[in-house]
Amino acid sequence: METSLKIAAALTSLCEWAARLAAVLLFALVAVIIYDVVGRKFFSTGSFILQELEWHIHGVIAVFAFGYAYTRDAHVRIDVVADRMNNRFRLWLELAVVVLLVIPFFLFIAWYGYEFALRAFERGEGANGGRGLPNRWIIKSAVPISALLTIAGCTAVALRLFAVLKRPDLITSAFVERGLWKR
Amino acid sequence: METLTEFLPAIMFLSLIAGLFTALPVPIVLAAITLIFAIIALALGEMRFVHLSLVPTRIYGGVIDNAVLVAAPMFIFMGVVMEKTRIAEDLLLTLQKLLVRVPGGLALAVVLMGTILAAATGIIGASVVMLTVMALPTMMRAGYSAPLATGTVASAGTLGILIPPSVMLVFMSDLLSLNLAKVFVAAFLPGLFLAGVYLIYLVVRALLRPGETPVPRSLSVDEKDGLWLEALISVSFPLILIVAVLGSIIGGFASPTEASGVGAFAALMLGLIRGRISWKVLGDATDSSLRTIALLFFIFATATAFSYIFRKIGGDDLIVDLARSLNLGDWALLFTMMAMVFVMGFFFDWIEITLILLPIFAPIVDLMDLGEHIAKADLVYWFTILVAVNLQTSFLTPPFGFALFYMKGAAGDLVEMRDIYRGIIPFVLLQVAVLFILIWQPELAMWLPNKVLGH
Repeated sequence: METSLKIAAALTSLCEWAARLAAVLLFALVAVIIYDVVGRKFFSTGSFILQELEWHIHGVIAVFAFGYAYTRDAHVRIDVVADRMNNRFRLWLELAVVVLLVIPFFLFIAWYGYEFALRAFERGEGANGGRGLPNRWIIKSAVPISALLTIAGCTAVALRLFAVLKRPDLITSAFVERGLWKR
Repeated sequence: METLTEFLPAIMFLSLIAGLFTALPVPIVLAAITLIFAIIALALGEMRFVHLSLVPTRIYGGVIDNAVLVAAPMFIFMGVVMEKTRIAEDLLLTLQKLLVRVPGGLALAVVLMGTILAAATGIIGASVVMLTVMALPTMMRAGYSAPLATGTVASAGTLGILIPPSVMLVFMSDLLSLNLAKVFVAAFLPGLFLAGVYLIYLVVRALLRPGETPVPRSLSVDEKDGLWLEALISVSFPLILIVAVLGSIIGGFASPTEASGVGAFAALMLGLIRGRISWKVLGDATDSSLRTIALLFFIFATATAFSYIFRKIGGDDLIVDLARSLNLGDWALLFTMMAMVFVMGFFFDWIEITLILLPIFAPIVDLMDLGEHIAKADLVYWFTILVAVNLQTSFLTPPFGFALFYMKGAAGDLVEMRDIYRGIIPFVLLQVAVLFILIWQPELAMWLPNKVLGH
């Protein structure tokens, strides 16, 4: 059990690094938009490249923190009815659903997402119409990477759920409290 | 077997609703149900494997390769920075001082703040909690009756989804393939109208029933000290920021994406001017923004997979056939959809409702024609605004109103659930009135966008 908690900690920390990258990119996105707007309005620079860069950065911010948010229990739950359910049953249910359905779902996304990005790489796909950023495979690989990070987050939560159910003396919650930047 | 394939989409949808009530995270439920029904559809020969392998492509196209959605993380970041640098709090405190001589002044300040800072993240749960924590204890201490205080806070806290820049409107316009700038402009007057109705109601109520509000007083010399400078910084700056963001969209100077980036930048600058930016604040702000962004986009990604499978197994046809076979006529259909949205708002935040229900409604709305009442090109915009106002009403309607639970959770023992229920009723009635005025007079939403952005 101690080993599986160590694995959970390592996977959690992987999710955290991805989320930190996304956090830093928030500032990068602000900077690119400001540079683009100021350039276009006042110096008539601005370009397709900048506008493409905007949604590229957005894409990474949008999908890189799925796993992180799950380790923090930040995803919405509709608990109006479920409050009356047995707590252990809820934990077992979450464990079963995550292991049997959600992780396979994202393995599927990771695999076909990888093929999707690989295809773009092999064909040397660039921007639509040729203007804009080349090498579409880079941003397309955000899909499989995000799926893998989600699997990492799901596995970490599943291992912790199992520990909570079997060894409540070791941990009492499947989720981590600390913030993104705290060690 | 044939009946099974025919009703498979209906079973899929109902399984999702049932699954959501297990209190597992919403995107986890979406992924699980999607996988189960994809396997069933494959086994029944309703879908070929090649379709399934296109799901990652769909997610990429919907979530990542999408220039419009760039506005969502930026508006969320802007709202969170305003919260963490306490710009929002300053605004409320100053408005409250400025309005202390007016009957019901504090309640008016809360509504005004809800209107100006409608941006604040745009997640109902979060904004109601924030406003409850910030304003409710102060109002109760100042001598406001519990029903009046709770009603004001809950309705001001939900204004955020309607008044642009609203993250909900960003997603709605993406799902219905609308022009985001036009959606923002269309929501502008109805949002201000609703806020105006609240303000008038509060003043009238304070005058008619003075017992519910504290006696207006003048400020003490201490309080007056430096008030004007304080007002200049804490009220005008955020006000200018919001007006600049919205103004540049309405005036056509900037796309909503550009406006969102400028808004986030300005919020950071405002924090710097106030000396509130530190590593800790930046850390908290990015962390909190990312959790909200991940929450939204995880549901969006999994809902994309869900709707794709739902459509592949004939969900669209089922919905359109169902709508046709009911033989209701377009008006009755409109009210049926509104009723569905309303009922879902008892339990779910807008995220689940718009991301799951709107793709299903889209083909029906496409076929709708209300003749003279509203131009065909404007119909879907008007529909979007109606859904937005409807959702806001639904969140506030007892006994299940989604916002009311969050409020009770944040307020703790400070107020009774009974007070919350009693307090919200007049506001819900005002909302319903505004909703019907909007149905009756589509011009309230469509006049401004057609005026400034052209047809």
